[in-house]
Amino acid sequence: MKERLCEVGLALCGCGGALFSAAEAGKVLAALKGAGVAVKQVLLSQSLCTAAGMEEAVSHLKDQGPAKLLFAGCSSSRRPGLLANMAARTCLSPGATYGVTLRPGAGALLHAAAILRGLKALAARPAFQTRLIHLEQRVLVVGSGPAGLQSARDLRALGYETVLVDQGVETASGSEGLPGGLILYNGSRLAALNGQLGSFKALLETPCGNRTVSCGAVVITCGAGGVGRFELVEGLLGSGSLTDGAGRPTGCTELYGLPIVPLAELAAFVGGLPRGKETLTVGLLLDLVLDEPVSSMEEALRLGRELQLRGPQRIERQVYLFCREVKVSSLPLQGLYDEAREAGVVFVQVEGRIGLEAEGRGVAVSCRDSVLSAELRVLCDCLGVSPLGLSLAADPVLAAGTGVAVDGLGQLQENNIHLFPELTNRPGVFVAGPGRGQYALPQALREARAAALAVHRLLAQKHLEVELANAQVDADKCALCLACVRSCPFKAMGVNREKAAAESYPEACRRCGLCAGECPARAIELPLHTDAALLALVD
Amino acid sequence: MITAVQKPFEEIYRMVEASGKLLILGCGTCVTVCMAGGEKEVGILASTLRLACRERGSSLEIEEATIERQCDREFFDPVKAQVLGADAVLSMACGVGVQFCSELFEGKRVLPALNTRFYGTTVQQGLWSERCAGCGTCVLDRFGGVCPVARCAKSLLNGPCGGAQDGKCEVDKEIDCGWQLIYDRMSALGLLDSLMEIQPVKDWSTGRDGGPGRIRRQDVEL
Amino acid sequence: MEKKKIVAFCCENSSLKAAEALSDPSLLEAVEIVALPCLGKIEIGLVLKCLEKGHPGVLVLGCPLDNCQYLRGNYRAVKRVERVRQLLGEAGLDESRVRMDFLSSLDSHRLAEILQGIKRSEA
Repeated sequence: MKERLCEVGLALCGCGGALFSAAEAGKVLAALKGAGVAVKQVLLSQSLCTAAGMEEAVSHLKDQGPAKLLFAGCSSSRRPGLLANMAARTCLSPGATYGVTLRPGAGALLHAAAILRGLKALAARPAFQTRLIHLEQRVLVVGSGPAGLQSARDLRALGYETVLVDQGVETASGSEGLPGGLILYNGSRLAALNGQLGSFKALLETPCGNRTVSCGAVVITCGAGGVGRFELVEGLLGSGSLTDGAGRPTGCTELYGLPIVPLAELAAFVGGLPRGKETLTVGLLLDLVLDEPVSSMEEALRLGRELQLRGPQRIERQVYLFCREVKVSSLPLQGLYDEAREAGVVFVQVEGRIGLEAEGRGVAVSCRDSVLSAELRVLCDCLGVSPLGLSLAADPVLAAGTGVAVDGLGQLQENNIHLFPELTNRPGVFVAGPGRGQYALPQALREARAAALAVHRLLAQKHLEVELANAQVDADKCALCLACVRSCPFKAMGVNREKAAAESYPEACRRCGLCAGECPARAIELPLHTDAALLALVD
Repeated sequence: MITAVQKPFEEIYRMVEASGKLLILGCGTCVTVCMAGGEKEVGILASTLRLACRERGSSLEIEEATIERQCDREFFDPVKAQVLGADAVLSMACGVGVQFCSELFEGKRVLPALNTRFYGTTVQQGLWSERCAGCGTCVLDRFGGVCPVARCAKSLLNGPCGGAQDGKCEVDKEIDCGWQLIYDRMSALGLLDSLMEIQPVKDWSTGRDGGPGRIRRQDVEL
Repeated sequence: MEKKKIVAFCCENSSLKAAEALSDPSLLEAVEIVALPCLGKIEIGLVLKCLEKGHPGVLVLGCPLDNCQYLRGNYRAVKRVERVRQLLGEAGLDESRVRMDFLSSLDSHRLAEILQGIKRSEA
């Protein structure tokens, strides 16, 4: 054991004195020696996480050339990026590094104990072969709306071949929005995404037949596609343009053939309504379940107050504002809220489902008022909705074809914080904007840029050195029941037809062991956590 | 595949408690796929039995093994010694495996840990549904690929009974009315008219009646 | 023979980190910690084996739902723990011998409470 421990190099960082000062470092090494371990290759630092500290460490370690490397320091030492970076620069495989977190205030003896545990773990770690995965420098962007175009623009600027796919026949932003060097498939859809990151094979259904595009990464930006596909009330679908009393198109988008319009168009719409009624009831609907930004509340409050006050004479207006909670956390909002209430806007705090149905020429809003604890039904002549408040399910065919899991609202990103904002369950597939239910333009564009950067982070390295420590399937035991293929969250399991057994793809396998737990034949093992090892721990 | 479910624990316990040395024998094919009798389930049942025995003061000794299939004799070779050494074998295979094991090891008590259910398909992970009744005279060509024998609760061959509601069987609201499925499928295929042909009384001797079935292929016999 | 302790299966990303940050590390002596990359690796057979080998109980500690780094590991673990408890019930044993709890890596104080509870019940 001692010989093997010596082939391990130690990079010890005092974290600017927070863990131990430069002087105390000697005590830690002495404590290690006292435990019987004399580490020959030691690098002492107080700032390994800084660029300068890293440079110093890399040059020092390149001279020493240890076979394996242990980092001990603050919690940065366990961050995979830091270790991988260091490994790459000192020509070590990613599996030959290990991080140990030292606790502030623990003292030299406890630090030494933690380091010793890390050294043993690293020395005992089996050496895995690695495979070099080539990363195709082409990206597929699904959806050519503002978010898709933003991503595509950024990706082109970063030097990637970019292919855009859109179901619509014309791009949403017209031809001026297209950056040069872009390949665009109009009237096409992404039917299936095979392969893994770095070497995806995207099957596109185009008007000229099926096309296969190989790409290293995919960015999905498209959502339900257009205002017409919202589903507020079951059975009411459709859109059209609204005409005024004289039959002229008002230029407002109308939802479902009902007087429901996006908030932004409400004022114009109200102005265009035929006169004749004595009282006009205007509804404003915010569904804050989806955590709309403050700007929606602000917009709604201003609009509500305006509409309430500025009616032409002889026509009374009554504005109702439906929302789940009134966000008035900031002073300006509080002021707007007070003004709106003074003007006569009625606030209805809603809980549960909001129902909208046609009644006469208007729309009836049914909901439960959480303040009054009573069911309420308000007949509005027109209703303004914030697009964020609508249940916008993404294209289920897209979800099924790409293997991206949808959340409870049908959007292409599971409700897990580790994925936010641009990741999906499938490594190499990113999501931005409407794809994940984000229709507010500034946010959607920001997300699109973040997704482009995430793609760059992945593809810039051109190759990925992957340690072959992925889940291993015993082909003899495998009954091809497909439980692992179906249950892998990362779609990292597939069927090897030659072996007639399941197998995991090392570039996507996250080594979580979910497959091993599901397998009814006990045919799957994680090399880093073998059944034998776990059983030994339990004995 | 053949689907099966594990018997309730108490029933299994009562079957095995008198044995001194028990071998739990799993099967690596159908019952592995339907999560009832594969190597994993063998381990789980063995552990549960050992814990229960300890609790109840029984001195039952339990061994575990799993073979690829219990319906072909060669697969039993690796476990022959274990089977012979046990007082009883608790087979986690379908009824076929339990019986075949019993035949191969004359005089050995072989007990069933599972209740064999049906020939079915995996509708989705965790959900299996019956499709075939093994009637021996397949008429799926006449019914658009939906079997009236297996999927109609009454196995009617000439149209539905009057009890279906909203496409669901009167026997159980969870079950689709087989004849609704046939009708929909034949409409989609444009073959609705052929349902007007009267199907004769079925000869059940190829399947459900006429004694245990037997297939002989002389061209394949060694 | 040394008395067997409760086995605590800890996910590396949450409960193990919480354990490493305990203000009173001596509390960890109440359990036998087994680190897993994710609770999704938990196998029903292994949990039962722990009880078979004489451990008084099994504690399964992982990330709160929707916080799993591997997305669904804790959801699968919930189902498996439920099945184990059901099996224990059928076998006539005490279901509460196998328990599951959710901790984030910052919840050292909650972990301390859980461990103190174990220490108290064994005293």
